[in-house]
Amino acid sequence: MPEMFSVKAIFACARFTKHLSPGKHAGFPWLYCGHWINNEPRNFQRSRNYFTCSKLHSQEKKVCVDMGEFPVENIRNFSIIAHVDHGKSTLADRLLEIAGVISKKGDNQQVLDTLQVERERGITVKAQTSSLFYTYKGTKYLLNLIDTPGHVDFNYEVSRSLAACQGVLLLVDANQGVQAQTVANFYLAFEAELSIIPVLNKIDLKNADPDGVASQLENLFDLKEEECLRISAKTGVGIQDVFESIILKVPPPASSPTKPLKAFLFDSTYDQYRGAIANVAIIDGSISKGDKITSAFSGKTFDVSEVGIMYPDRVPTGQLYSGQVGYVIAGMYNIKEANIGDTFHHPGQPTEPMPGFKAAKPMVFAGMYPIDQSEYVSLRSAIDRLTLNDSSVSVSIDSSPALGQGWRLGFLGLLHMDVFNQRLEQEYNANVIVTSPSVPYKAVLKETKLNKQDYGDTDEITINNPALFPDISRVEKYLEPMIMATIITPDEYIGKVINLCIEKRCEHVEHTYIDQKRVLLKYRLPLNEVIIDFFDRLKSISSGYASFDYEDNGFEPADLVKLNILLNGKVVEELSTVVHRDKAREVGKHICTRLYDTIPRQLYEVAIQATVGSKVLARETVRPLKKNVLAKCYGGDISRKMKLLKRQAEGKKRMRKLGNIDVPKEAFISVLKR
Amino acid sequence: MLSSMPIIIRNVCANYMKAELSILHSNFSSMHSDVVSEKYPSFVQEAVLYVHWPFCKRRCTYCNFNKYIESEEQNKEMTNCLVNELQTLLSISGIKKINSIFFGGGTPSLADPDMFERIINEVTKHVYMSSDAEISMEANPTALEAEKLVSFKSAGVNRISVGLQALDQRDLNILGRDHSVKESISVLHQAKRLFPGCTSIDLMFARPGQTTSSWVKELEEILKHADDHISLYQLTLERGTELFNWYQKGEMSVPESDVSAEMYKDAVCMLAEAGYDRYEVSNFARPGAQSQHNQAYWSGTQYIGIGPGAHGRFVPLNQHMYPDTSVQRVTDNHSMMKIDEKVSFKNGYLTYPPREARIQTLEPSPWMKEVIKYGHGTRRRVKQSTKEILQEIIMLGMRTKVGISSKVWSEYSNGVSLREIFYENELVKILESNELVELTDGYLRPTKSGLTVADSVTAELILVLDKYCQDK
Repeated sequence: MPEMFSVKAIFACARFTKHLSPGKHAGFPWLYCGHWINNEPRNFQRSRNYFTCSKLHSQEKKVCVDMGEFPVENIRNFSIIAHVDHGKSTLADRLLEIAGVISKKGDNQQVLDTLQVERERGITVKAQTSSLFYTYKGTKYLLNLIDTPGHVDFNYEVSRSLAACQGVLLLVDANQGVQAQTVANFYLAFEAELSIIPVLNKIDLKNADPDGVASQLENLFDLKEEECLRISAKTGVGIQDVFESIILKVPPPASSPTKPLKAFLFDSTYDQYRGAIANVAIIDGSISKGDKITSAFSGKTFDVSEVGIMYPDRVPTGQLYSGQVGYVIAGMYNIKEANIGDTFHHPGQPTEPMPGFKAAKPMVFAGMYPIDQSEYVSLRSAIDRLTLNDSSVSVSIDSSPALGQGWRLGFLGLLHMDVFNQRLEQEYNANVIVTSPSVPYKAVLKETKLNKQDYGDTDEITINNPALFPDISRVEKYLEPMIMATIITPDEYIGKVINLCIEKRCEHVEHTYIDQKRVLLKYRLPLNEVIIDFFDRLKSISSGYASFDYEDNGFEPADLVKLNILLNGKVVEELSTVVHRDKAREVGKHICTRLYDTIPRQLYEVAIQATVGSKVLARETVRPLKKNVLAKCYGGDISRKMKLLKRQAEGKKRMRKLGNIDVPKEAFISVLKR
Repeated sequence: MLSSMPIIIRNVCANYMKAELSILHSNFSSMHSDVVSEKYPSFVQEAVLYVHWPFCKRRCTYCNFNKYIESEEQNKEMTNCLVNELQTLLSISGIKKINSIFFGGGTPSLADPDMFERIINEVTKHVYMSSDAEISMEANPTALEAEKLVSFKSAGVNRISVGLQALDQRDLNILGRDHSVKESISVLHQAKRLFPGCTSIDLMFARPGQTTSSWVKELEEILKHADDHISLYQLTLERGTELFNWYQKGEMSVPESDVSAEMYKDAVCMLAEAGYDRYEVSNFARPGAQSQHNQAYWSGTQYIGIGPGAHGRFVPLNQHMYPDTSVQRVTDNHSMMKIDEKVSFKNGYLTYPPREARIQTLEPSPWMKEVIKYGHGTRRRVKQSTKEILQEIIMLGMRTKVGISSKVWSEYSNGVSLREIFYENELVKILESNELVELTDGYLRPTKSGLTVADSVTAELILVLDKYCQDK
């Protein structure tokens, strides 16, 4: 069988080894692997397992692999990291084709991007893995490609995937050059001490400038120009060199077959019928179908009903040996039991658990409501099912007088939110209203009796809902979440980009020319300023050339206020929002205008006001109707007129009565919606 | 569907009708003021009659009414069919008394005066109609039709509504009218001589390109010629009309809603000064000159409509004597309040079926064919629930100065009084405090400003009624 090494598991193993015997193995885990393989060759002479892989592109393929054929020294675990659109998925397709995993029919379109949203948007959302077999100079190698998500929001997944690798292909478009996310990804791999193979893609295009881009890589990352591979994933040029580099430059994982089982769970998906499908890296020992395994995290024991590799679909192999990467199905019907970062061992043979992952923390929140309340139940089940496979989404129940029953969801970032919504719509056919996103604020409370009574002993609270925003009189200071933004732009747009950042309350950090024309800017910005339209505006002011990436960067004190919206003098709580004091007037005006445009003229005047405290910052007035009566109504007109008026009355029923005025749902949506 | 009905049933139908008509006929000679039977409440035994003459010489650009270009040979047949339908519906309804007749269209002034005479005779032959009952017709102000005014009068017509529309030649052309300003003024004066105090003018405002000041001037001019009644209609762009298409293509614009509101307000003001009282949203009359017929619609009186596309609202007391041959029959069974189903011997009266909303077949030719073949041209019958009837009463009442009468309300509401539903309601109180409605012992009525926004007020009151029905 193909022996699959979870790249991440191997990495983890390397760290573990370091811990055990610093000096001897640190930095050279592959030597250790080679050593044990030589000593324990028999471990790999197991009976052959045959398996059929039938799901692959409707092509029946009989694969016969003995996982024991692959000693650790013949295993390479790697990822491809790249900026969006630099050709990561296309390169993955080519590698899978050449290794014979998928047919060469030419219809392979981003095989590892299994979600509709991934193919449509050209991004990878969910990490996927696939094993490849490649014979180099007479030796058969097992290569495990661990695809990574291609966006900043999914950095946590990237680092998870990298934890199972010993090397990465840093893929850069030879036309576009280094982009913001190339930088972010490089540092992720660099900090993880992985070998980095720079690969310049799309050299077949007319405007490709591989030399220029190679020198950018040298300037920025100290990667030697001559080490850059030059390929075209589309045409297949240079792909063999990629294989060669992987085999020569990426070290094999550090694993021991003699130690007791230590399996590291680095990802999981959920199958309706089989429960959690755990992606594991076998750090030490081996795992077989029928084994019992125990979670180091919960102490629970499970029966392993299936073990296999991803090829790229699941292929059962019966066993996985040390250093390999694959999946395990073990009757974990609650996704929480497949806890990412958990370590499994055989019962009664505990091993030191791997350091887990920090749970990804949602930074962007939005309300989500069914357009029609009758769809509440089906939307709930759709959200349940989606969050099964994406544990980074936080879910809490919310309700709004205007929008009805719904949820407040927390996402890692804007794209994450978009992708989630798109999946809801595409995969579950759900019609949802998504409210304008907000960020979590914090308030440092004064030490008063009242605060103690209301908030307990804590002196800092997190505010996710403007309705719960504490008054300034009870607060020492408010804090808002910050990000560190990396922007790479051609220098002709630099003025506009800087102005945009200034408008967004930026703090300048770095300004570097990465070549003659292009500048890397680093700014510290409030997250709140970035979540609404920053990315779109950046793209439009730079004619699409600027790229942007960010990472969370703590909290900062900020002058925050609660902006209230009043209709005929009454506060409409659900329209309240927390804003920076400097932005209050602008936001208030904007909301008033939207309400003005959507609240119909009616019998009575409607005064729309935006206030902070007792101060009115903006006002619009919807004048009352001067005349509303159809001109003619005799015998033959009555039925038709009645129909119209009943419709009008029905429409009013769907509106919300606030005092003597009727506010249509659309008015709320126009303010609350993105 | 009709054609699939067995012949034998159709014959039965025709026989029933004859039998019933002869009974009615023999009884009627002795009936005068106390014509109504005591078996039923009087409001289900009386009605007003609408006669629809569907033909026009040409189609006006703003009109999507049911009307067709006249063809000579159809006229006679149309008259025969109208008479036939009238007999049928009088019989089915069990009506004992007709309070007024209105000939509308279309262009009824294109019809032969004989048509009017035959309809009026047919009515008086079967039911009681007072000798001074209002008998109105619409007339186009062309020279040709003016010549026939005398014959209309001899046929029995005693009130005329002249379709003046505008005193601006350019606008008349845009509207597609076939008369000139001069012609229509002269016809108006002729009509006034023949029907003094009973001549009405139809006017249209918010016309393409019209301004408030030109409208005020035009109205001043009209007041010099007007008799005691004026109907004022805001031009509404109806889908399917030429005017609508022009507007869609951007070839023409109409005054904005605030401007037309201004025009209306100015007109109400000027007409009031000239002694015309706004007794309904679009109708203005000097004292005693109100249209009896239209007031009957607005106060919830039963009406029978004959002719292609004509609507009716009445309790078909004798429907059980006829096989139901209407093509489409809808029974609405939302139960509302405690009322709704048949009322048995209520207040000592006999059971009577629910009131129906009826529509006759729309196109003239099929309508005539059906009348000839089956003796009637009713296309659709909808049993009205109590709630629906009350909704109509609200809508119509809020368009009139007198408002909703609690007496009329009680006739249909099965004992739930106007007061019980509305007088303590929060929404109504808000309407009242904003001076949009007035609540008196006998009436719930719109104020002057309430009348101008009658549709919005109606929507509120309908919601109040809905809520009441729901909570019961």
